[in-house]
Amino acid sequence: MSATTDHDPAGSSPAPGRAAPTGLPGRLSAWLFWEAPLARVAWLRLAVYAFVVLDVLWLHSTGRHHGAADPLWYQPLVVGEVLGVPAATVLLAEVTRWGSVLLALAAMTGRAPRLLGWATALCWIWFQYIAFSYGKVDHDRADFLVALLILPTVGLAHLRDGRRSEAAGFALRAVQLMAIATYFLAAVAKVRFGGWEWVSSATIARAVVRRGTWVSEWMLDYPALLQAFQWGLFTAELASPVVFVLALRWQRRVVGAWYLFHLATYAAITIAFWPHLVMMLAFLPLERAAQLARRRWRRLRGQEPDAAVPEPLVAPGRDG
Amino acid sequence: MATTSGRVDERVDGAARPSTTSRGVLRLGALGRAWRTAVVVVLAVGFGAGSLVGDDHWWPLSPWRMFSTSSSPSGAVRVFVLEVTTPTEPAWREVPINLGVVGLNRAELEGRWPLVQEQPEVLATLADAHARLQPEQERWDGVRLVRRSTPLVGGSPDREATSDQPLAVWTARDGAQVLGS
Repeated sequence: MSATTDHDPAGSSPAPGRAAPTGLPGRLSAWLFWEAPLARVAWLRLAVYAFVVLDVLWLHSTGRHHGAADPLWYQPLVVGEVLGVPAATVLLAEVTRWGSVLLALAAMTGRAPRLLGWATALCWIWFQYIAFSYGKVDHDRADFLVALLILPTVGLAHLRDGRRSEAAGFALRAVQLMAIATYFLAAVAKVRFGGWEWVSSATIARAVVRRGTWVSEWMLDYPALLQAFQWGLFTAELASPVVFVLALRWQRRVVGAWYLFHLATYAAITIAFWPHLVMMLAFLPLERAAQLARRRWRRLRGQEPDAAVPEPLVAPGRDG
Repeated sequence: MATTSGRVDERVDGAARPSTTSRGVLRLGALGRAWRTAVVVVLAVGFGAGSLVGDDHWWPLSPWRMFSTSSSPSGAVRVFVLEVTTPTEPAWREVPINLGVVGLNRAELEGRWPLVQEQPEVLATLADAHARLQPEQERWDGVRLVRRSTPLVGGSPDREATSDQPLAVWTARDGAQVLGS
């Protein structure tokens, strides 16, 4: 199967022996519950749990210091008020942090995916709660909860799994939907909090003043350039859901463009929405990339292709 | 449930009817599809409501408001700065405001300015947190909160015109007081 095979943008083609979905509900259902390679979920879960380890140890580790802050600075979130979550302590922060690490490492083995997956989710979410319940919420992390909570529902999946599954298709679609929703809802927030004049404001100029790098600081002398960037970003965010009706080839190009946007953002103001970058992997044929890498590695070492690995690994489908 | 041998069981997700398989495809039953669809609806309603009427306290359903406010091209960029003294360094010196130093980051401290205005003695807890986080360093005996303003002219910062305004101070010797607003 070619990596650029287009899918049916309105839904999906019927499974062998199944009638084609008719009507909007049927097409929507077929789109939501598409037959995805289980191996793709296994690779995505591997990335998600590896990210959890990196995140709590390095990328977003400082939230644990709230355990050292006086409890008077604690501002419980709604979910904390409802559940009666107490202010952080050093012990609680470290338990949720190291619990996240150990459980995510265990989950990376692929064993007991529901138990270990949801336990990892609980620890990571609690650790985020500790980070965010002192007056500042990082707005890029809510979507990752969906990945942590939904991916375990697929059950067992192996990195070389040759099967497809509707549960896997749903999980991947849910992660994709959530990832793209963050762009669209970010545009909604700009209209709500900044008004339509946001596009002509000095928001990015201020961000560059506060967190700029040599890559971006020269742009402060060209405010029109920064405003043009705001127009482009806002338009892209509003139009982001269109990605779901694009042909697969173009869908992946758009995802690539979003990755480039995030790279440019990091270079300009040293902000990266790390969990979101992992979520966007749900659009990519991860299992095929891994297979390709394995084959190239064997070729580099002068070995024959692995005869044990069937090619194609997954039976032709409509997902590219 | 699938097994490592590649065998495919007949039932997935406790489906009301057995899931069917064809060419290695695991299908969902009606129940499995129903609750998953319900999850999507709940998430859509939750995140939609959070974006339209919620605030940060709704996290994880809070609005995605990073960089969402409009900034006037001719306003000023204001940031909080923390200054401290120690018994051996009695002159005010700036220290970073971050979680590793005071257990809070700058935005959190900026967001709690009303609390500091009401109870400036809370600045003493920053010295306590610093002592817990960096016990090898000398304990602070003075903490001062300062607002630093850099004016924007046509969207560009005029760094020459940057100014500092002390907002509140606490010292172990004289206690706490609010200096500005």
